[in-house]
Amino acid sequence: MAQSFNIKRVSSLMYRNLVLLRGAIITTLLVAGGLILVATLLSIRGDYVVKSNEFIGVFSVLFLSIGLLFTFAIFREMHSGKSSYFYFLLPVTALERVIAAWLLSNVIYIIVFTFFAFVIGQIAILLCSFSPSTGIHFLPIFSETFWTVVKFYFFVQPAFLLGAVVFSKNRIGKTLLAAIVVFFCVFIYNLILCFAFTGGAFDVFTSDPFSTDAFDLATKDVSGIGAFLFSLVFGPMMLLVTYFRITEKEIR
Amino acid sequence: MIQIRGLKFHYPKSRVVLNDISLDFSSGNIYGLFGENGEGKSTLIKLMAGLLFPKKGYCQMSNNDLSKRRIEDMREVFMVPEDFELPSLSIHKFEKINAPFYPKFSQDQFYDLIREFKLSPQENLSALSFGQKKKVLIAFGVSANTSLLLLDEPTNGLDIPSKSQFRKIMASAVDEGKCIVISTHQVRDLHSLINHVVILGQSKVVFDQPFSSISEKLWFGRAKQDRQDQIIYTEPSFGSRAVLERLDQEETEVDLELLFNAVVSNPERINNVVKGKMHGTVI
Repeated sequence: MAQSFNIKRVSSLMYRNLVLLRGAIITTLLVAGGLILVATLLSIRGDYVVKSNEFIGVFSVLFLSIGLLFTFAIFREMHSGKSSYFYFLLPVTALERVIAAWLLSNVIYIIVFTFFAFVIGQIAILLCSFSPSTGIHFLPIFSETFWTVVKFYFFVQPAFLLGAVVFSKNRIGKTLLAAIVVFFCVFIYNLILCFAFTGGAFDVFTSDPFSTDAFDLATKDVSGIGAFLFSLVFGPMMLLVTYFRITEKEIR
Repeated sequence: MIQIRGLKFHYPKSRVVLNDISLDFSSGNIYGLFGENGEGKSTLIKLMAGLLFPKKGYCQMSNNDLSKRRIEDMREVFMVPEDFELPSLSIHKFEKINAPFYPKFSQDQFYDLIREFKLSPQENLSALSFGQKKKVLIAFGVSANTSLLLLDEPTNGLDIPSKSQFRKIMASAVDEGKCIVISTHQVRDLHSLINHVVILGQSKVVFDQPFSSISEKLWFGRAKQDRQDQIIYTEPSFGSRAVLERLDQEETEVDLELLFNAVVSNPERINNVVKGKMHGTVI
């Protein structure tokens, strides 16, 4: 009996995805590289040094937006009426498809894009070092904000992976809309809970010392649970749902 | 090899395309799957490839449900669809990224077929005509050496010399371990290639017979006056060809187009005449 998970098939599928998307990847990297270069050169202007907060601004925007576009691009073949047959015909299990897509658009993407941005930023610094005022220094990329952005992408991206599989048309828009709807549902649910706990008295927000204690406790305890849920449960759960959606997907 | 039992299928918010289909496809044969437009030939092919899931019944390969898309089944199935798009890659690159998924893929066979089709491995797929792209996909499908090869309207888009080339390649591709199913409405293109005929009509299997039974029981040609009562079907023009019970007549070459028209016009009578091995449900 053949193995239902084979790392060789996963790597072959990742290679296949990269080859199929190579044109789009090269164009996107050229555009991103250009923007990072210009932004880094502009941030050197004035104080002759690239500050962490200056670089991370442009990095975050490009990192998140390109990452999400890449996530949707990986499953483009699955939704194309005339090429989806080949995608589904490939002897690859649903688990291998999900793992390959996740590894490529998440883990590998984070490493490659970070390295790429670092290299481009460093090239900008080296270019400016021809001017006597600018000294050669390392690009301060690994700041606290950088890790926050990477963590956010790492845990939230699987939700977009699911959106890329579930929706066949206007996939990015529909996924964002679904995220907004879920956010509002959670928000309303919280309001209902708050209403229930306070017996309908929303004046707990006044300067009562009891409310201050309550908020401190909530921030400490509930935020911890929330972070746990969103980091260790939310991402894997989205990957699991993606797996089942691929399993039940038929061609059009 | 492939066992279909009580299969029913309909697309969302659509009429039933296939209803209570029961068929057997065994290795070493080339099956011709015929039917009028919209009778579900392509749908049946997609169900056999595990690309669609039956609403009722099952489609199994070696006792495994194909809708489960198990890896050991999927690597034994390849399909050439009627309409498709290929990526903008060279033929060589296309082979390089897709061949590793098929353990029995033969590179030598693929490039031999590519050369036979007068194509070059360095040619970009986006620069090829639809017929040439189809040749690449047929070459890939044959070289994948899967046990089941499904071809949906494979001769659409092929020029006249390529059609005979296709027949030659298919005839050499089939062996004891392989089963080839060709769905088409261009019956003449499959002349002398298939050895089993399956005809779909009104969402059901209306005819399912091996070629040997057809040529044994039916006679194709211009009927003499004394045989008018044995005519099962005749073309609606004066002096035209007809399908008759063979009885003690000389064996004739099976006229697929005439057979198809005969089955579509009177499936009951023709099935009553050809009483060989009955595979499917006959209405």
